[in-house]
Amino acid sequence: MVGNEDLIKLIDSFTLDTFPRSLILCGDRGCGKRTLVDYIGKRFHLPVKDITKNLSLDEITGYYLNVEPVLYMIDSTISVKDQNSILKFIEEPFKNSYVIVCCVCKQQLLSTILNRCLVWEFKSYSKDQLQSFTNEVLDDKITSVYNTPGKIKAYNPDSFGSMLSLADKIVKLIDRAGVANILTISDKINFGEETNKFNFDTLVDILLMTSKLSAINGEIDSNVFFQTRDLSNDRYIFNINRKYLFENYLFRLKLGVV
Amino acid sequence: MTLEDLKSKVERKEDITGLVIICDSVGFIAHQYLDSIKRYYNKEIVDIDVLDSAYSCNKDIFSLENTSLFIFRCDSFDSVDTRLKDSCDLIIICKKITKESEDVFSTYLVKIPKLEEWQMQDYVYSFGEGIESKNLDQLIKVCNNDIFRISSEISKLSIFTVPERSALYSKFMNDGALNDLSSYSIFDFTSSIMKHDIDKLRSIYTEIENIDIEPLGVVTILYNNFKNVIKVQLSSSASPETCGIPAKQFWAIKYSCGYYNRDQLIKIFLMLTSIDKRLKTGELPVDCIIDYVVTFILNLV
Repeated sequence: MVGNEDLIKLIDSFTLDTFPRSLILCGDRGCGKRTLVDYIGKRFHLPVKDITKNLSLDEITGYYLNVEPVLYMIDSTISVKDQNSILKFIEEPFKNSYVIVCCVCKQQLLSTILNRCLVWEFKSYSKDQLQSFTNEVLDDKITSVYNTPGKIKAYNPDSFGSMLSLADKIVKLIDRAGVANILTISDKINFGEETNKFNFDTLVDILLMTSKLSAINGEIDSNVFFQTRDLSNDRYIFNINRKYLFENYLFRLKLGVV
Repeated sequence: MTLEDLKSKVERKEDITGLVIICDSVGFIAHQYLDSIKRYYNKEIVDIDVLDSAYSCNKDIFSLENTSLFIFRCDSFDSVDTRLKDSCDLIIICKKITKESEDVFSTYLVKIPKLEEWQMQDYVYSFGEGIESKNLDQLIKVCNNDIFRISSEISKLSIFTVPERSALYSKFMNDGALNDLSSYSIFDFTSSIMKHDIDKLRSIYTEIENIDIEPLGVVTILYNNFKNVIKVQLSSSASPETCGIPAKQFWAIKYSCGYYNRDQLIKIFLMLTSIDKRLKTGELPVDCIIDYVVTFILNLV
């Protein structure tokens, strides 16, 4: 595993008896949370079981009845209801059970979950570390957006160039665009399972980078950067309708609403 | 057997012998006949779940006579077993019958035609003596021509004497006894907002709790509608091709344009797209969404 050697050292310092029973791994998309979970499983000879979509009462009872050691992984995309239902399971897992919850940011999780677990955060990757994952030449702009190995592996120069151009137009020219024209922007973005459209998360990262640089250079009002930062944070609200969020953001930029 | 034959048998209080198949798509009249038969029938009436039970009486070779009337109910009758013709006294009530079964049992079949509106009116008027006909017509409308519901509501009034009924009906209306019924739908509600029809909106809003409306469903419909109106109304050269909308839909949307100006459309769209975040962050409770949307839009204009 490239990068985050500290976490690897920390894991290696534990034995099966001393390893935390409930753990949260917090890091950006593609930073290697799943890879680390698999590493932990191999290190302690534990089968890894993703139970994100299997959190009904009967299933959780089944996990309690399972006597063999297992490493349970839960993604933070679970609902608030599911988070509440796993509270007891996380607090008092059965002997030989280990639970790891993976999240992009701590805001995705209830405070009651956070209080019950040890939280390990992934550190940022350096440019050299990211370069080792691709043959493409990476500059600062690219690494500020594609800042994890997972994102770098999905990096496409053409797509990045198109999204950069779109983001530039949004932050600098939206006040000149017609209202009807603004609504066509969201048609270019993948909010769900559409293919051949821009990835929403990547576009928001590019918007954040572009608005920050433009605000620093005095090309745009700083309010644009603040609105974009709010959009970037709000996209992680559980079950938020991202299309509504994005169109609201565009209209607020258009109107210059603070 | 025709419906008239069955009716005259029931009116003469004759015992039903052999097989009778009553096919009624709604089921109301079939059950009315059954209730009437049950009131005067001397023998035991037995509901059966499987048709085989009706054959079993023939196996009792020592029985002197049939002692029961069997009732079998099903949605669709598709049996072609001719043993049924020799079965015990059996009434089959079904909503549908297959062509094959109809051919085999044609002489035993009573097909009840679909109830017409004038028949429902006659029915309500016959039980609603003492109540004004306009109120009875309103009752039919509010019950959405559901004969079962109409029967249930009118039976509440028919237990009272004729002079009491009119005053009681007014009391029912004032006390909201019929308020769980509304003839409006979610689309009437959203359409009145799109067309800025305040009178209709006010009328629908007073019955809002009686309409099956999902708040987020309203937001979704309004979001889609206002988005389409913005695309068409605020576009410099609107056409189906430039707006990316099918032609039929484009011209339909055109009829919804012009009720709001540019600023109002933008503010409404901003409001609609912000509701989801407010809901998910707990800022706006879900049961306040409709009130919030209506007051926001009415306040704008």
